[in-house]
Amino acid sequence: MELRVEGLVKRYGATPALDGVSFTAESGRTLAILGPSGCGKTTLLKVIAGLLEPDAGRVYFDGRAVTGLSPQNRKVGYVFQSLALFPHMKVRDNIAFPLDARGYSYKEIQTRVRQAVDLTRLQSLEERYPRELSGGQQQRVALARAIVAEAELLLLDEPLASLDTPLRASLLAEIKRVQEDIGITTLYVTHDQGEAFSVGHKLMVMIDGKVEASGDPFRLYAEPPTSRVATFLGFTNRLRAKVLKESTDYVEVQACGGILPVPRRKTRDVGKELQILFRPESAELSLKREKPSQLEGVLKSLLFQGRNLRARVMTEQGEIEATVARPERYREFLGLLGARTYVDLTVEEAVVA
Amino acid sequence: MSGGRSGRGRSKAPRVSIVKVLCLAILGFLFLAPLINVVQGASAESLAQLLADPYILKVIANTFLQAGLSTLPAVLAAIPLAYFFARYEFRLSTIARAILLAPFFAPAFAAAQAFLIVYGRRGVVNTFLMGLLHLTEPPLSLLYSMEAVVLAHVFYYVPVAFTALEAGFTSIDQDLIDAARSLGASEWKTFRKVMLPQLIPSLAASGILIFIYSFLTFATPLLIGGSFTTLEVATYFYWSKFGGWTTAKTLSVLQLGLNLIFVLAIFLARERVFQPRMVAKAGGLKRSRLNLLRGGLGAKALALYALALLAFEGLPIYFIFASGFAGSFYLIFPIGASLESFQRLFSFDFGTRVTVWDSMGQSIAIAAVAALLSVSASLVTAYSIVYSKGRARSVLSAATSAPLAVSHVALAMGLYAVYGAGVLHLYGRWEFLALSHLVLIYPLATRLIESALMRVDPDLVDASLTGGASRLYTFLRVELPLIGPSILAASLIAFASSIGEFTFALVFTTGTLQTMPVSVERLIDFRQIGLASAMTSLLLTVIFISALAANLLARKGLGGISYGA
Repeated sequence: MELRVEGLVKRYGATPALDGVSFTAESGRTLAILGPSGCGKTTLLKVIAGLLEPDAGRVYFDGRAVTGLSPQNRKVGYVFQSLALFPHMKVRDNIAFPLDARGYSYKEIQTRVRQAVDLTRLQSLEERYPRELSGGQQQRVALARAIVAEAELLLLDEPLASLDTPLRASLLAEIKRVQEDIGITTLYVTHDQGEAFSVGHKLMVMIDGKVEASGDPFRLYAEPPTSRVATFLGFTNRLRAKVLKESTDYVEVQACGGILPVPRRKTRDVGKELQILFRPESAELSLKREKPSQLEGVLKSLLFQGRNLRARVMTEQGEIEATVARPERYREFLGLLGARTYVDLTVEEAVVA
Repeated sequence: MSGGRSGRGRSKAPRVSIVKVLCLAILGFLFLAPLINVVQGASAESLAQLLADPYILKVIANTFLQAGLSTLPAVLAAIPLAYFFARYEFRLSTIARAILLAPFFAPAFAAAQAFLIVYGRRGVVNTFLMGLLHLTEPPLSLLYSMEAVVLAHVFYYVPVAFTALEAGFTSIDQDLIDAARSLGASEWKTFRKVMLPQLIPSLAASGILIFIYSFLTFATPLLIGGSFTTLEVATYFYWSKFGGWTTAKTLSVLQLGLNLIFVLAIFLARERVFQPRMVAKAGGLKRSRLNLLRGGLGAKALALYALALLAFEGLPIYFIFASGFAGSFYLIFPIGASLESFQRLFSFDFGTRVTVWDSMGQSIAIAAVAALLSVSASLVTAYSIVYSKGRARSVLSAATSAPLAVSHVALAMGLYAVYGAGVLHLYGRWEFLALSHLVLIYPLATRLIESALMRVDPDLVDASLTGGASRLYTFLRVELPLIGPSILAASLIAFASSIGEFTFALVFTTGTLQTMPVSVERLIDFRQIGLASAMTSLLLTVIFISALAANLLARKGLGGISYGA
């Protein structure tokens, strides 16, 4: 089923939780919706499920307007962030609930519950109560309950938020597998970039109730279209650069004592300023001046993060964060605090705005 | 979760309007109709007469005075007690807590009765002192005065303040206390500067509740007040003894007006008083084990104080049982306990057509019907409160709580006029008493069920609705099973409240209708103290077992079943 949403607006008091949201989710694919907490993601899902009425806008299932249709008639499978498993029902009864509610026959219920249990690998747990299950098992029950009654649309609200990190990867793979097995149109809402990029066929970034960007996950990661999206996706460093020279593919700019060629996507006027946004992992700390493209600054502090060693360097435009290639040299670098250092920027990974 | 948290109202709950209409009908039928009748029956002329009458002015002043004098000591006495129970744990603390709460569950007339037994002319205290000091005359004459009424109120309402304050203390974040102690504050300073300020909402809430209860007191001044009269008792006398309908209704309206002033004052002060001072994390106070040998002077003093209050609260109830099982009134300590009083009780002749067996049967039937009806009505009301939004919700919530603050005598007059007399003419039938108990119990049961319904995770309802269930199906399969224990608990509390109810029972008693509390009052009138105690013992046993079971059920609802994440 294709989901289309047009101009959704939902306000709580004065603040809009949804501020004109429009998008289309392709049939049988997963659309990951990424955004910081409080950006309106849950509100969006509730409006689509019919649990909340929008102040304006429409929702279409396969071109059919469903605005005003009650939730029970929408054939939507919803996995809540809290999972919302019925605490007084066994696993089997939780999964059977949507079938019971829709008046399926006893035999039909048996077959479908069995199928859902097999699909989510919950065999042998059917007689347990939710509180007797691990977090991952509870998660799978919620998923089974959402898909058991031939839902046409699966809504997942931060489905892994309550789980420990090691469990997340395996459950994410599980959700992907189930989604692909039954080919259901899926909306996957999360604030976690890793989840969003790995689960979605398509990715949409929501900030403050608005769709900031959407498209292919790989492209969005590499080239965020706006600086808000870039900042949210980890392009935390931002520098002003002055245009020195313009050629066909590159623009030569000057910033913080370095002269760098940045990719040219549109015409730039010589003498004007542009913005360079980059991730700490695209900037490497160096102790020697090796090439003219290096930025200059004073090493202010080091942050050992285990896998990474991050350095904060004070440039003439303020502090930027860079990566130290080999974290094991932490102690060596400690002695250099306050010394003049250089930063190698991989301009291909930077965003020029 | 993102989005606003404006409560339950934000999820779509179709057809809530039918329930809301039903809820308004219940309110109108049970509460508004009788009240309007009372207001209509009052007259300005009569009001002018009453306000010019020095006796009435004295009664009004007395009513305020005794309410204030009852509230202050009850709340103050409860502070150290609540602190002690919130701060320390010890063996038998559960039993001690149950003893402290017992007076509140006991009916008001039983508190007055206990005072007769303990502090009366030939009561336990006087008998003890006469024996000790070799006196021939009882040294204390405490009863039949304002002091007696106030003391009985303190006895009766310390448990109310204790419950509220203990909950208040327990919810204080332990980290704040640890922070204060690590910053060098003494235990006393920590109590005064960190804990007490956070207790203001609980202090205010329990103080207001006790003031309103005391203001509306009836059984206590009637039974042990002597010539000391409050507005409620005066209204009753004008109505029943002097047949002054207009005067009685005008007095009720006057009292209602005075009540309205408090309610308004509370409403205006609520922002300042009831807002928690700081946002405490959901940590809660940690209890430490009480060790009297190693503990400081403070802990020892507190323990001693708690013991004294335990005696003050526990002994009067104990003496009701003791006097019921004692052979005679003077043999108060159950050495050689006997069932003689019980045997005599069942053959006692009230001089009416009602036997003791009839009285018990009527009480049980009335309580069962009132409990069943009130819980059903409360379920409808609680549902429409919980699923209403914004202003509608506050109005409904206030309207259903209002009967708690309305004079019982006024309600009785209204109910009599609307349903007792007139077309329906239910007066004299036990169903009529059940109906009037329904009016009294309904607000309380609504609060209990409302709070249970509030604890049901709204996501569970949403999960059911998206699962294809209708609203009714969702209610029957998700909400109802989850609040089941609380509904049962509310039914038990309702049953206990009805079976011990005194005001309506007394006002509506007839030659053929006489519930157990009224039988007790008759027995006291006949000076059959032992028999009265025996009857109250029976009643208290039923009430305490119901309250205990309700408590266990409520706890099961909280702990045994988790209401979702």
